[in-house]
Amino acid sequence: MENKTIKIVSAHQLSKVQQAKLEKSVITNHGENLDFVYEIDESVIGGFKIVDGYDVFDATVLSKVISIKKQIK
Amino acid sequence: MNIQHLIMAEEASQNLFDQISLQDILIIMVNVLILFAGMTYLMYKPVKKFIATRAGEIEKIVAENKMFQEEIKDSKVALNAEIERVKLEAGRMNQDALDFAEEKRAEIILEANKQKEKIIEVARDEALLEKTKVENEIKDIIAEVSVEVCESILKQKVTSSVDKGLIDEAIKEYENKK
Repeated sequence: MENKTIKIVSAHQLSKVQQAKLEKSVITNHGENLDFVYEIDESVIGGFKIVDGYDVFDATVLSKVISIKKQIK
Repeated sequence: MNIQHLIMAEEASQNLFDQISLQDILIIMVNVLILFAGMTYLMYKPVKKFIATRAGEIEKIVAENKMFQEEIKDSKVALNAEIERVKLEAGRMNQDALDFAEEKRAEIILEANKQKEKIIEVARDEALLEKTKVENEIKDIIAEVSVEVCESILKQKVTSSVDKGLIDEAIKEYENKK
């Protein structure tokens, strides 16, 4: 069975501790057989987002800014 | 001399009368009567007839003339009556035209007022719409600018160490989400 790829996007590199903690949580949530891919994207400013196909958990500063922008409008 | 002459003339005429017989006188009288009858028949009667005809024609012309005058008089009266009637009719038509014009004027003013109210209402709605549009545009611009400023500030403030704390909080958030 092929492993499922989980992409984690952040502005800065996550520490090893953070990666381990996050991977543990993701495995608990999605199960075993996962490949984690880390991507640096400075546009997200801070925090991170987990992309699992079409399912996205977005905890970036950029998403919060966008949310505030929508509320202002 | 004169007396002598007179005596001679007297004698001559006496001789003349002596020479005319009764038969001659009768013949002359008959001739005169025939002449009178002929003249009466040939001249007097035609002339009388002609005069009577002319008189009749003149009477006829006078009667016709009188009739024409009566007709003219009647026509004049009728014409005057017609003129009065036409004047009244013209006055009535003029009044009708004025009334119609007044009615039309009132209708036009009413319609113009309606149009004016409609235009004002449309203009008011458009102005309100435009105002709302401009307000929204300004709001959008302010939002865009605010967000851009915010992003810019955050990019400067969120350093690697700050981001570490943010990531830790996000991990907790993810764990709590489960």
